[in-house]
Parts: sequence; C-alpha cells; structure tokens
Amino acid sequence: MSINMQEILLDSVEHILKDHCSRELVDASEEGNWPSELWEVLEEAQLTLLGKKEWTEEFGGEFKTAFEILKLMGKYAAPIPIAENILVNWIGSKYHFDDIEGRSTLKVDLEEKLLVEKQNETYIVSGKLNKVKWARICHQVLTLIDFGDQTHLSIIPLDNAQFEKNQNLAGEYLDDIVFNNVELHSIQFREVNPQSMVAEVKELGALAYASMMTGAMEEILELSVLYSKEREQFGRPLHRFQAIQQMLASLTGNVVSGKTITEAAINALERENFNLIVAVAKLRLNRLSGTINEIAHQIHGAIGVTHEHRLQQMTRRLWAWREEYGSEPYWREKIKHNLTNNFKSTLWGTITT
Amino acid sequence: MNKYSLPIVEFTEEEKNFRLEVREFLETEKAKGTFETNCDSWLSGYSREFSEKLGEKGWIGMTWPKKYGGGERTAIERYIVIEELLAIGAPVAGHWFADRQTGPLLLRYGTEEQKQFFLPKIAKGKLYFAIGLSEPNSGSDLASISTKAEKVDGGWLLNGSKIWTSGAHLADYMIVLCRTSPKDEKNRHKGMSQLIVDMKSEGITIRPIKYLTGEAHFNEVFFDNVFVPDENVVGTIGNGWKQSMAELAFERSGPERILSTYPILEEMFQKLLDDMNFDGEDEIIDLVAELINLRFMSIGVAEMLQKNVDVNLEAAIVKDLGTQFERKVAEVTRSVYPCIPSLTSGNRLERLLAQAILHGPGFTLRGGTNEILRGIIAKGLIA
Ligand SMILES: Cc1cc2nc3c(=O)[nH]c(=O)nc-3n(C[C@H](O)[C@H](O)[C@H](O)COP(=O)(O)OP(=O)(O)OC[C@H]3O[C@@H](n4cnc5c(N)ncnc54)[C@H](O)[C@@H]3O)c2cc1C
Repeated sequence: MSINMQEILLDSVEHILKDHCSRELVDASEEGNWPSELWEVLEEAQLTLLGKKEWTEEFGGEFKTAFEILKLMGKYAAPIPIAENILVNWIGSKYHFDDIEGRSTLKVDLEEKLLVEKQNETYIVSGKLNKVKWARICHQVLTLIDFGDQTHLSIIPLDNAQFEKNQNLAGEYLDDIVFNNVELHSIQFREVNPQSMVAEVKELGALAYASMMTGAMEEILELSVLYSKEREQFGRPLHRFQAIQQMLASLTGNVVSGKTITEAAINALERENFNLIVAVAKLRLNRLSGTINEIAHQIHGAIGVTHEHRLQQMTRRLWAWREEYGSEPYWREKIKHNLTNNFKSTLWGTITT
Repeated sequence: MNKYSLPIVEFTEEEKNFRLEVREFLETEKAKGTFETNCDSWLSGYSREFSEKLGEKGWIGMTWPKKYGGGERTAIERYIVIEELLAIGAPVAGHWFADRQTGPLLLRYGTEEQKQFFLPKIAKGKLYFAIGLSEPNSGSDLASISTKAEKVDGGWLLNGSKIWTSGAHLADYMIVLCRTSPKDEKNRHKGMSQLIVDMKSEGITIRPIKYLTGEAHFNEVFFDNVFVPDENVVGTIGNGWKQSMAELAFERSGPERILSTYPILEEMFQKLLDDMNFDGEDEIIDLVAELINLRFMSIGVAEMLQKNVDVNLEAAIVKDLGTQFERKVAEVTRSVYPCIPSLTSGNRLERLLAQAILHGPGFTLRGGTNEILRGIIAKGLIA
C-alpha cells in the first residue's frame, strides 16, 4: 500500500474511533455492555477483514498496515477483539482454513489443548481454555486440539461452550471457556508443528499488543501535556514548574523509545531478524509501561486516579497488556536463545548483522 | 500521532559489508597491539598514530566533499565507522571533536580558505580541535560567557578563559565562543562570535585539571591578549550563538552517547555464554534489549540529521536516555558479577568497570547536562 493510501485509511479509522469509541463507551463495556455498534461500524468499513487474503487483495494492503491500525485502537482503548480478529484472520488464511465469519479469538498454548473425539458422524469436544481474551462475545476460537494421536490447529465454534467470566486489570473480558462434550458435525483442523505454531502466535500477538501499547502511550503523553497546560497551581500552569518539565521530558523519552522499537518490529515483519526485534519490542514495551504510568499519574495528581478521567483507561491497559503474549521472562529467554543460537563471535557482531 | 517519530533505518547489504571491513581492520590493529580496548575512549584515549591510520583509511571526515579531503560517504556509513570504533573502545579522542563538530561547522559557515586549509588536515587525522564553550562562571548558562574579543587592526584581541576543555593540551586549535560586543541583558544571545584560535599563539596558558582519577583530560585555558587574525573568524561576527547551537545537534546525537561503556557489556555477554544459567542474566538481557532499542533511535536521528531536519529535541531525548544507559551498564554489571573494579587490575573486566564507574559522572554532564536537555524537551512539548 502506498504511504498515501495508508494515511487515508488511518485517517478514516481515526474518524470512526473518534465518533464511535467514546470514554463512556469504554466504561460501559467494562460494566458488561459490550459495544456491538462499534463492531458493526468497523464491519461496514471492512476493517474486520484485516489480515485476511481478500483484504490484502482487494485493498492492495500490506499486513503491516494492520499494526498501524492497531496503534489507533490502543489510542482509543477500543474494547473489541480487533487484535484477536486480525491474528485469526491472518493465521487462518496462512494455514488455509475455510473462510471464517463473525468475531474470532484465540488461545494457542501447548498446556491448554482441547480434546476432540469422533463418535459416528459427530465430533465431541471437551476441555477448558483459560483466560481467553473477549471470549464471551466471540463466535469461534483458534486453538490446538488433540485428535487421534496428533496435535492440530483448529477453529472451534463457541456456540455451545460455557464461559466463566473474568476481566483483566483494564476490565477487558478474559474468560475461561469450558467445552463440556460439545457435539459438532464438522470441524476444521490443520496439521502443524505445535511448538513452532505457539511461537509464531506469540510473536504476532506480541507485535499486535506492542502496537496497541504504543497507541496508548502516545495518548498518555498527550493527556499529560494537555493537563500540564490546563491545570494551574501557585498562580501558574504546572508545566512552568521545573519538576514537572523534567517529568514530561522523561515521559517523552520513554514513549519515544516504545514507539521506535515497535516501529522497528513492524518494519522487521517477514524479515530475518523479526524474531529478535519483536522479542526486544515486547520486553521493552512491558518494561517502559510501568515507568510511563508512574510518571503520568504523578503529573495528573488526584484527578488522574479517578474513574471519570480518561487517563486510567490508558494506564490500566498498559498494566494489563504487559501480560498479553508473554511477560518479561518469556521474552528474555527468547532473546537469549536468539542471540546465542545466532552468535557471531561477539555480542556486537551478533546485534549488528 | 507523528510527533517525535524517528525513521527506522535498515542497513543495506553494502553497508553491512562495509561494517565488516571496518571491524576487520580494527581487530587486526588491536591484535597488532596498536591499541587496547578501553571505556570512554572517545574522550580519553589519544593516539596520533592511530588517528593517522584512520585518516589513511578515509574514515575521518568521511561525509565531506572530496575537494576538502573528505570521502563523500553517507552519514550512515560514518555512523557505522563511529559505532565500530566505540564498540571496540579504540583511542579516537584526538581527532574526535574535529571530525564530529569542527568539520561540519566549517563546511556550513567557514570561508573557502578555511575549508581548504583545515579540512584536509583534519581528514588525515593530523589536526586536532578542542571545543571552548564553558567558562568558570558559565556552565549550563552558556549565554552568560564573558571571554571577549576586541577588534584591532587585522584581527581580534582575545581575553578571558575557558574551562573543562577536553584535550586542549593536545589540540592544535580551539573553536572559542566569545563576546564581540558587550552583554545585552535584553537579548542574551546577541553579540557572540566563534574564533579559530591557534593553540601555539602567544598569550595562551593551558593548565591541566586533574580528573577525579588523577588523569589529565580537561583543562583550564587562559587567553591574555591573544591575537586572532580576521581570517580565523568562523561565519559572521555576532552569529556565534546560532552557529554553536547548530553544532550541538552533531554533538548530542551520536552513538558515543550510548556506547561509552559498551566494552563491559561485551565481556558480560561472554560470561553468560560460558555459563548458561548465569545468575545475573536477566539484567544483562535487559541491557542488551535497551541497547537495541537505543540504537534504532540514535540511527533514526542520524538519518534525520543527514536530511537536514531539525533534530534538536530528538537528539536531546537520545542523549538523556543513552547516557543513563551507559552508567547503568556499569552498575548492573558490578551488582551481578562480583569483582573488585580497579584501574590497575590485571583482569580486563575489572579494569573496564573501574573506568566506567569513575568516568560515569561525566556522562550526564558533558555536552549539556541531562537536566538542561530535559528542559529543552519539555519546552518543545509545550510549544
Ligand atoms: C568530562 C567532561 C568533559 C567536558 N568537556 C568540555 C569541553 O571540551 N568543552 C567545553 O566547553 N565544556 C566541556 N565540559 C563542560 C560541560 O559542558 C559542563 O560541565 C556542562 O555544560 C555543565 O556546566 P557546569 O559543569 O558548570 O554545571 P552547572 O551549570 O553549574 O550545573 C550544576 C548542576 O545544576 C543543574 N542546573 C544548572 N542550571 C539548571 C537549570 N536551568 N535547570 C535545572 N538544572 C540546572 C545542572 O544540570 C547540574 O546538575 C566538559 C564536562 C565534563 C564533565
């Protein structure tokens, strides 16, 4: 997609979010009123097709563009399974699943596979998937199943599943899904190497969440700058105090770090060094989030910790998203293995190739 | 959304090969004993022999026009050379300021004669410059300087003093920022000029100031009626402030604000390889990740600088974060790897650590303190 086309697309996405993703709507979703209208608007704009082959073909779009759109979703705290949908669309297309409709989520984990057995002409699904993002409002889940003597990748409908409802730190749905001998007439599954499948999903998921975290970080910076101009104490705006200036500058440094490494990871997509850069990106985003939240809340004073203020919708997301698709230990291990497996006589030689 | 977005630079195959060529040369020189790896070698490692070798390779003044002895290479190629020199901790302090600052300054503001006289010699690694900004009473508040030059027949008479001037005792020339008209409290940046001062001139006294380790890196320099000929004025009389500030973007954004302690990280990673369940490995991996992150930022700034985009704020951001990182490398290392840092130790890591710890306080002071940089960043945000 040309730079220009991408800009136009991003502009229109931002317009949609401005009009249809208010602070109140985000609050309401947390109370359990999921905003189906927002999803419908995105469906109409064909944004729910992001990641599918048909989207790529029809719009001449690159997969990279999806991550730019996710930054905006993060900036507006969009309480919808858009990242999950993109990931399932992409992986579904890549592994030649038949076209999927409706909302999708995923849980691809070696420790949490479903068991599928065939009885006569029907398939019986049993097992439990823990803490699945947005599960209760989704139509299907991409997951690993044990069927026959093999592990497969499969897309399982959620019609007859049961949900044990949970929420993450940001109030996003994070439900357990229970399949109690659910009967299905047909089932789609593909042969994959489970280990590399898990690694692939982790990487793409990490990139998706890094992108959303970047958007949230930019919004946090913007809110902090605005507030420092608006709020007056001792007869002058906060930004006139050096202590606040120092905080704003540190905040900016951390946000620019996060933005840059995310951009580098998006840029590395489908390149040789993607495994390393995406691992570094998620590790860094996780680490930067804590500092960014700390500074932003300090700048905002008490108003920032109220439920009414928009800041908390962003900061709670950063705290929550650190745990999505690998927290620090997972990515450190990946970085270590990447560097040691590709070692070129010095660390310097390894990170500069 | 696009405020403070840095471009992502991916090195091309040719650039990667060039990097290997540079690295091979440096490794060979090191093996021959031309130099030893040290931390902070861009500020404290001097070797005329090595500077001249780099000059022969064409790795000083790389981006300058060929007619002035340059190589007309890209800013990214220069960036690669600089990184390789820092990663291996080579002694480059002698020509550093001339290559980084004085060259670009003269190319932008210098006269034809100045360019023809100075640039080829700098590019050969034979001519060293020092940067004369700070004064005893003017540190962060640089606009308050009082060293002054008065017009006389054929030139200027310089009086006053500069302090903390790195390498002044080894430099051939100094770029001196001074007043050429009296202070004006209403417009503090007015009336300053930049002069090229020959360090062999009569009336100059150089007093080395011992760094806290006892080593001599920086100096106090006194000017007592030093005559500076008209042809040594840089740019326009009265435009010195603006010219100096343009120089600072070059001074602040380079890899030397990230890599001053890199040799330690290299040693630590070797330890991790030797013992794959090394206790401090989490912290070391975090440092490597932060380094990768900072490199992307710093290369992005270099790319913008090449395109003549104003990068003052971005450069300040990178320097603020990069210099803190430099210090963190030493602190983390000593906390995860028990040893006794010492400048005289026979153990390389202990020696490098000692250099890093003892030079550490300077990282966040030189080139504008981090507090001043953060002030610049904040003002840019509010504007
Ligand atoms: C190793 C080393 C090499 C150097 N090399 C050179 C050189 O080659 N040439 C040269 O000209 N100079 C050189 N310097 C000097 C350097 O540029 C100054 O140290 C620096 O500009 C700060 O000035 P100062 O040391 O007088 O500190 P001061 O300005 O007195 O500052 C002291 C403290 O107060 C803080 N402070 C000051 N003003 C403010 C403010 N407005 N807001 C918030 N905080 C403030 C500072 O951040 C610092 O923490 C070198 C310094 C070092 C350490």
